[in-house]
Amino acid sequence: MNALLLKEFYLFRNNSKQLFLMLLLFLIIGITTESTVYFSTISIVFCLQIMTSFSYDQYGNWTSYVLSLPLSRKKYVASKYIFSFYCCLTGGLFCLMAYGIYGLIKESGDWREIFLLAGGIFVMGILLSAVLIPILLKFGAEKSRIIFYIVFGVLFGIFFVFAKNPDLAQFVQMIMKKSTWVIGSMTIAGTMILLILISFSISVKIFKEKEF
Amino acid sequence: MELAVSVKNLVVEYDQFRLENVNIEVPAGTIVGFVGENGAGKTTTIIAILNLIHYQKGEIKVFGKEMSEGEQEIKKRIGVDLDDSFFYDNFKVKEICQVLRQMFPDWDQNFMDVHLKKAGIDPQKKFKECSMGMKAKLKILTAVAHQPELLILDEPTSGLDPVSRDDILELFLEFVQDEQHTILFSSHITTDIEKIADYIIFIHEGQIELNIEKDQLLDTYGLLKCSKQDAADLADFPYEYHQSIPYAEKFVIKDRQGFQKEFPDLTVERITIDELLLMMSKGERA
Repeated sequence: MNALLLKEFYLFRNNSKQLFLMLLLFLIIGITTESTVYFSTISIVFCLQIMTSFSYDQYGNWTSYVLSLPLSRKKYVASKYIFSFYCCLTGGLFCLMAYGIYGLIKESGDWREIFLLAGGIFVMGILLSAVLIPILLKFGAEKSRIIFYIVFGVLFGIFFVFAKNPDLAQFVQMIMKKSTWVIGSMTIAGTMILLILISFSISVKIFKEKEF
Repeated sequence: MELAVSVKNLVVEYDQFRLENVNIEVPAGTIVGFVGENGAGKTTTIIAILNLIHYQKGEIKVFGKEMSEGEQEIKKRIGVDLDDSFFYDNFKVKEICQVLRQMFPDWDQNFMDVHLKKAGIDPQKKFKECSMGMKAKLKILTAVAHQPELLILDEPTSGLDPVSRDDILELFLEFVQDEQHTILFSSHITTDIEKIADYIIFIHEGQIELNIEKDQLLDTYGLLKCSKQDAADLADFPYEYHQSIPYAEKFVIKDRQGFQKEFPDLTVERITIDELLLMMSKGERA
């Protein structure tokens, strides 16, 4: 497992130049245009580094090579989830950092909101990864990209329906008001863990059937 | 005879291809060359041995055990070089070694350092910056560095110049020097196999055509080239493969010396692995 995570780390490091250049660019654009939406976008890009990882695995035929080594398929799948978790954490931290810097420069911003947003990015990243990883394992990186856009579109659609429907929005707000921070956080964490476990077991099943 | 690998009645079915009752035995302490034209089934057999594909029928044992009896433990004792799969091009040689070092507790970095230097491979170099020869050597070295008992190699010398190929064959010979190590390697470069293999397995269109000791093959098999008239006059005689070419007939004879005694007027030459492979591919079985 350590070997796989080290390989993901090297891959991430090898791609980090482009990623950090992009990050800097978005940061500058965000600050100069006073449009913070770029920060969220780049944070999501961080969360989705798992897609790049699968692309490279496919490109170098790494998967068949690594499975010829003493490593179980379950561990390979587990390494992808762990790497994905780190990516989402990095995405959330970047979001925190970018909005924080922006807030300090512009002398504006509410830290509570920033933390909420960073947490939201992290949760969204985890949810997307839980949906994406089984798809990536089943269909490969290229086909999954198309599926991802559809999934992303559907999630955006759900969000849009909620935002535009006053009754639904009020219902959500009512629940949020009634629940305490602890209950809210625990519900979110519990849902995430459950989703990840379901996603992981599906992924392992898919990957065990896969041929190379 | 202790077997490092045994494959019995292996059947693998794809839409356009079928491995048909493949039987292979790789004796421990030997080098076995696996020969066949492109698409004959070499890679499919190798990846089936490595449990990378599901097979419809058959039994595969490595070190006397099926993969289901402890795949990880078996694979710790194997070194693998697959034709077109390895690390990403952007990885440095040093990074590749570090990742594999985590994978194998018995990884010998000292061995790697010595051999990388010998091969002129800079550990700081990216894999994509290495020449074809360097890449091939690196793949072999990484397969050997954890001191496996068995090497399984798919086309390890493909696309290399004769000098690089010779360097790699030397590495193989170094690996089997103590007669405890075994190599199963596929290739369509028959001269490499002729140089170092103890046994040769021929595969054609998904079927094993011949599994034989190399010396026995080269000592006893022969190639008869004769005119069409001579061939007609011969009537019934034992041969393995036959091919008609313009103005002549070609036959693979199993007992060259016996045939020569019986038909002293005809010349039966020693057969090369290349010629035998061509006869299997282009000729007809008796």
